[in-house]
Amino acid sequence: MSAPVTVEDVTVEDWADGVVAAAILGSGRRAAPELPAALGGPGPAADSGTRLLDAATVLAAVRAVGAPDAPEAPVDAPVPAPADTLAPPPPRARQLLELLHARPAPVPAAERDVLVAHWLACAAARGVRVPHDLLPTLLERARTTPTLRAPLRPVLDERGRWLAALHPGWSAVLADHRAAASPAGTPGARPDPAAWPHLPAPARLALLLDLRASPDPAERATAADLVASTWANDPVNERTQHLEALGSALVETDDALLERALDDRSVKVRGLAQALLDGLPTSRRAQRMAERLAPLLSRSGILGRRLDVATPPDPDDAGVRDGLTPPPRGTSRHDWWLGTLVAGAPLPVLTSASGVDEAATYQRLPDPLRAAVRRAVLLRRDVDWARAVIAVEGRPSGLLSVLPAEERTQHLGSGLARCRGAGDLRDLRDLLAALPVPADPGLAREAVEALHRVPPPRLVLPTETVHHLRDALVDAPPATLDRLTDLVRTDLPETTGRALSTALQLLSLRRSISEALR
Amino acid sequence: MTTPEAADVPAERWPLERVRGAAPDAASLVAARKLTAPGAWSDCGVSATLVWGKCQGSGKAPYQVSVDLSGPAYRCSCPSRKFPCKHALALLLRWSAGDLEPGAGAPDEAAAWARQRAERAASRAAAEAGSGAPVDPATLAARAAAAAQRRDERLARMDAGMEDLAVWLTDLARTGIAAARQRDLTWWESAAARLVDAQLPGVAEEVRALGRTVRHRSDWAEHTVDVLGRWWLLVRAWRRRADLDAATAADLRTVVGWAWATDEVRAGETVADVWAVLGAHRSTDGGLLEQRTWLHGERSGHVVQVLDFAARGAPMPVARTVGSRLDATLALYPGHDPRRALLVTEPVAAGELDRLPGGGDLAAARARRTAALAANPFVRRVPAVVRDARVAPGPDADTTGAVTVVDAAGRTVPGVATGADEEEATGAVWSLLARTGGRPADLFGELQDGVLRVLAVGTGDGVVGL
Repeated sequence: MSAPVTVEDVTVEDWADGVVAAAILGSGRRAAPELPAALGGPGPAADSGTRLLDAATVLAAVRAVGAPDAPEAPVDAPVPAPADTLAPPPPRARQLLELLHARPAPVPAAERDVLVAHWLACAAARGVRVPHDLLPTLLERARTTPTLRAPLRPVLDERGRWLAALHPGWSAVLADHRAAASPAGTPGARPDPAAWPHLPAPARLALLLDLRASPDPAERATAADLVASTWANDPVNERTQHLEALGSALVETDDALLERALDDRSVKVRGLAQALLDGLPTSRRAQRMAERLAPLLSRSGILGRRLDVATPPDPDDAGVRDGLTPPPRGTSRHDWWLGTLVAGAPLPVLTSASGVDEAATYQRLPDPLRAAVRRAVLLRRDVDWARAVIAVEGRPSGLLSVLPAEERTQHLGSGLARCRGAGDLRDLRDLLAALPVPADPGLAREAVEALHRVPPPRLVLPTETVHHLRDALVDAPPATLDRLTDLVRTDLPETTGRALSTALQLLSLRRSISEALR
Repeated sequence: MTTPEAADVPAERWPLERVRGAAPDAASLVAARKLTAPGAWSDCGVSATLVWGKCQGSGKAPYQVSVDLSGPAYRCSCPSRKFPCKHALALLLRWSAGDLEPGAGAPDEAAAWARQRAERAASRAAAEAGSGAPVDPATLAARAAAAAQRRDERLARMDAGMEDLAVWLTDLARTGIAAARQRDLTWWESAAARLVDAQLPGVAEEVRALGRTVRHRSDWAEHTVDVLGRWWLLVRAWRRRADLDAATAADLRTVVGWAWATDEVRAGETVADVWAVLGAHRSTDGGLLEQRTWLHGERSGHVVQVLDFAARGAPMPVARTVGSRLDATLALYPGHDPRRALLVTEPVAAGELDRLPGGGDLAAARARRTAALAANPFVRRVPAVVRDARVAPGPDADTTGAVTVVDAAGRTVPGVATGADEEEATGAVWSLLARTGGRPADLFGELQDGVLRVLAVGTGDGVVGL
């Protein structure tokens, strides 16, 4: 009703208020007001309850019909989304994207996210956008899964950006997390230390990983500065996560923060700092480990060809701070401390004590120390030492990933060809775990053929290895995947068989996506 | 005992008093009354000697209930040691109230059980000799007379129930709704139970609903006054029902919850047409899943709703795809627009709808709602096509799913989207926003309590459901 209806100074609104007031108290205590003339005037005489109910009936009808649904004045209409610039995807691609979000989910959540990211990347390459009706689903997924945000942004198009800006949870998908930490909110700008303390935990983590992945050394170094700026106040979980994020690519200047972390109140953070410092041979802790290790090493024998390792003394407080902690049950204290020293000290301490090259030095080390050396080599990605260890051991020793790409491929090729059966299963697992992602078609074929040479019931592969194999085979030719299908049909151990067939299913879905958006 | 020749003629319904008499105690009867909601029941039926059905209890599998009327003897798969159990009583209550459809055939296990009992009874009866006679016209006439008598009895019970309701309402008005609000649930429950006994289950459900919500609503006073007004209108209309036209009387019958037998509906008005599926809404109320499908007849211009119900866990007829066109004959339930309908023929797909039919701006939609209310003041939902409407998110649309629908002239109505629960409805609202992008589109929805529940959207790409 646009204007109040007034009759003899009683508006319908006043009358309505009077009816409700009488109803609340009861007509026994307050009589219902007479109907205003606009609604027909007073009704016939009746008892008070009946009069109130009659009034309620009229009021219900008035409200049902006359209730203004909303103000009649024109309101500001929403600004419509501009026209999209990209084409919608082909029907087959659209179906696949719908399938990925069907319930029940066709694949586990983590794998689904990888496939969705693949769909988005293929769509961006093809120059098509997300279908309008699937925008809410994808934006919601990207809200909870930050890794999908970057691939989603280029294919949102105008409609997607318009929609995301309306939803408080989704505007974060639009914003580059770097932009959130930068002064002007511009993507790609240097992060602003003043914004860091106010970022939510997931955004901080994403920013750290992003900075660590940067090609610019100065940016990589900035990450530790940000962590250090709030270190004193961050809770233990965040401190741990931040160190882990920095550990994805350590830089020399991390030494200052890690040294500080050695004095942390949390034993978890201290242990993490010690482990990370094993990968930083230029650190002060590495220097201290060298000072502890060097006096224990001596040459002996007539030609000085033996490398003697003396028993380390019990560690002092400074040693415990550096990680010379009591050993796990069932481990010799001396072997444990020596291993910790070798893994922590710069590797040249060993060669200068032996006076010979890496390979010869490695050969002269007792077994427990060799494992410590392999750990240090892997963490520090020391190519010379990796070559030496692989040559001496005559097997990949988990160090192939340290080698330059071409050398690694050669090793993998010849290594896979050498795997002749169940006896080489350990090497085969090592080799599979070292496959580059993605592996070139030749290596992919070699890997699958090597699997075929193991008697199926004995082919036990850890799940992580199968996952890595799956990622390595993303560009594998159809014939290779068909060979893998053959393998899955044999009587593999249950867990391995299941993991491989899931992997195959994902690879074939992925291939369908690539083909639909070619 | 019923004769074998009359085996396919449903047994004569028991009056309510007889069902009451069968109850082992008062508590069983109270428990049984709560089980009489249609949603809990499936696969019900009645034959000459047997009433059966499945009742969804708290367990996964529904309880199988059968009653041999010739005994009477009761059987139920529930673990209760009361005899008969509340499920058997509830089944009899429903049957007595005329809420059981005559079934196609008893489930095997119920039939076998009844046969065993019949054989045993027969061997006992053999001694007394005597056999059944065929049904003669006199018997049929007697049955028709009995049916008319049952109808008169029901109406008498309903009349008494309405007068009882009138007294209750007058009392409530005199003592005030603030006092009623302080009452506990059992007070409302006992008022509802009396209405169930008076065979006014529709009103009983409304009383229960008010009892459940009156404490929590912020607008409880206005809402309660509205509901009292509605019930009082019902009381006064019922008193005059002899003077009312057939459609208005049918509307009253729907409100009080006197179910129509589907055979009766099929024998009434039928319309053969091409029906466009305008929209569908699913909701759950307790264990009952309800599906409401709106259809528009292209030649007849009728806009009708088809209702399907399923108990929890039972399959619901597959939803018709919104935007599809179906060639079918529908039978319309008596009453004013918007009418309920049921499918008489199996629908044949007849292509797709490219544009929502009819409609206009929000003023036109409101005018039609007013006209519908003038014809049937009890109507709650009115279907509407709003053309060239833009959808704008409300302030908390990400959590509430509330939007504003703006028509070409700038008039607005609050909007929500369809969904079985709040989360689904919120998701559907964002789907609506994504599909329209703030640009004008045609919407189909239900106007109810001043809110437009959007069920379908028509853009350049055709008509799709939410």
